[in-house]
Amino acid sequence: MNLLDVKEISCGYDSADIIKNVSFSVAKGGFLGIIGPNGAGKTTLFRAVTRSLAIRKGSVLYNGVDISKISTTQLARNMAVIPQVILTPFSFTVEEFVFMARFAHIDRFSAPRGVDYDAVNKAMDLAGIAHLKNRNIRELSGGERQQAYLAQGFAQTPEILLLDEPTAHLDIRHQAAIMDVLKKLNKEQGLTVVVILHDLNLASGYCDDIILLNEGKIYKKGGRDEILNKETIEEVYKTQVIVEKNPITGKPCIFLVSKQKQTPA
Amino acid sequence: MNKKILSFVGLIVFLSAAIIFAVYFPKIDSQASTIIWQLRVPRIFLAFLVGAGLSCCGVVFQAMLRNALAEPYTLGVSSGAALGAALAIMFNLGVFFITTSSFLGSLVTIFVLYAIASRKHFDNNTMILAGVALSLLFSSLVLLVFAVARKEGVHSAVIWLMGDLSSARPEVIKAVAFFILAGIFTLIAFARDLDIICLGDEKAGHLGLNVILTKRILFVVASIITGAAISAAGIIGFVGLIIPHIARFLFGVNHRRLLVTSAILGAAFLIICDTVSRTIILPLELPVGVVTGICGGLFFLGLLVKAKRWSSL
Repeated sequence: MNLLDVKEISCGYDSADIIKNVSFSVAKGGFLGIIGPNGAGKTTLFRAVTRSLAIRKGSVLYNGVDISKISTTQLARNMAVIPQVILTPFSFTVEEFVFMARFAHIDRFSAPRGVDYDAVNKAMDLAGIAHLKNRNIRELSGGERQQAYLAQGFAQTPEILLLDEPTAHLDIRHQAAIMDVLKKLNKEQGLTVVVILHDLNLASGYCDDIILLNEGKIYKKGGRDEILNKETIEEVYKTQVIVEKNPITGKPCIFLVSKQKQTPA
Repeated sequence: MNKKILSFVGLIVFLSAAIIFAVYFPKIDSQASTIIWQLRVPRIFLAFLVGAGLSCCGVVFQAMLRNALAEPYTLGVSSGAALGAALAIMFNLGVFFITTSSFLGSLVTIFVLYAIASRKHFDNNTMILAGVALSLLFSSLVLLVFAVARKEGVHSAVIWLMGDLSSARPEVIKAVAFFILAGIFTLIAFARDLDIICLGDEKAGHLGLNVILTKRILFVVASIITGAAISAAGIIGFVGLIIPHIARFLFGVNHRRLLVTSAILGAAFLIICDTVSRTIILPLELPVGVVTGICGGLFFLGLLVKAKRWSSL
């Protein structure tokens, strides 16, 4: 059975629909990447699926139940969502920030229990920010902040984790750290992951299934070799590329071809 | 853990010192107990309630609007409440109606402000400007009410308007005590909600909060506290701005801790301000709103100068 079913949804901000009739599903334990050019509607789709944006047509089912019929608390116990940026106007410590993930698990009139502290500590260890737990969240570097977001997502102890470009603007060390820990949880604990990625090579390296979004519609979905080939990429991105195999993993690897004349070194 | 207990003990000691100072200063020779028990103690109790209530409202407005400059006074909520109370006073209505009307005034202001702010995506500048505009508008309407009203009530009404803890009657203090204390305990029950509301409506929803319902509840509770405080003590500005800032600086931003420490600090601060205002130009008295206004205005300016950006306040 699929954990998440997106059925023919359309949505948008003003009168026009940005996402048009999009359907896909994610199996339990899957690792799905969503890629596409700027303006393809990746974030809009993400917001519709995570209930931040009203759906005009179609439905999103979680475990077979329409998500608009699931209580906010119930959904938060199962689904963690990490947007690109989380507002932090006040100087929470990293630990306080991660602890907020337990909101849906703690009754209003009771104190946090051992499981809550365990989940938070484990999440900070996994995300590699345990040593930063007393630091001010607003003073972290971009990479550390993204790791803190990730820890908050893990501490929610979800079945499915949805992330909107978790590696944007990060150096390769943080990119690898973030994607590696997602993959590890996916493999070892069966965490279902849906991730929007900008970087095609990251999508190639980590995602089992890929959806290529273009102009608000699904252009193509499938495995990495079906999507990440020269014809498809050049058609959608309108840019000349070379696709080679990664010498170690054999997965497709995409290179840009500059329009400037170049001579091999 | 020890550090937390120590700082909490420190706060209680500070509050007790403020109360003792307020009770025994200036020294009285004859009929001491009558003056202390009939004049000073109720007044100190009211200052305690109003200071604690306004500080907690400041904490709540700042979290919900994600704006460190928000508080009942800068948002115009105080002026709205004052308008409600002024209307009730001028029509010679009873205590119950003054409080109710004051509460309605603050609630209406908050919803107008919320409607404006949500259209502008809670932009910091828009909100403070809208608050200032509402504040000026309602203050002018209050003056209008007093201008057309009968003459004899006006002087005391103007004093009340500037913030005055001396004229509240015991039955008013009792009613206000109920609303403010119940309000503060409700807010503390929502402390974790306030923590995650700081991350924005979308993220708070993802973490499991019913954002719209919770915000409505918190706005109503904060409006009740503000309305109650203002109906008894008039407009006392800036307490809700200064105190949460100091409490956050000293004790961190976790809202359970922040609400409790802000309440205690706010109570102590207003008790001290009131003692100053009642003694500094003896035998006359200053309205306490003048003292908090001067402290708060300078503090506000200092924040503006010191902060690099609005968002880092």
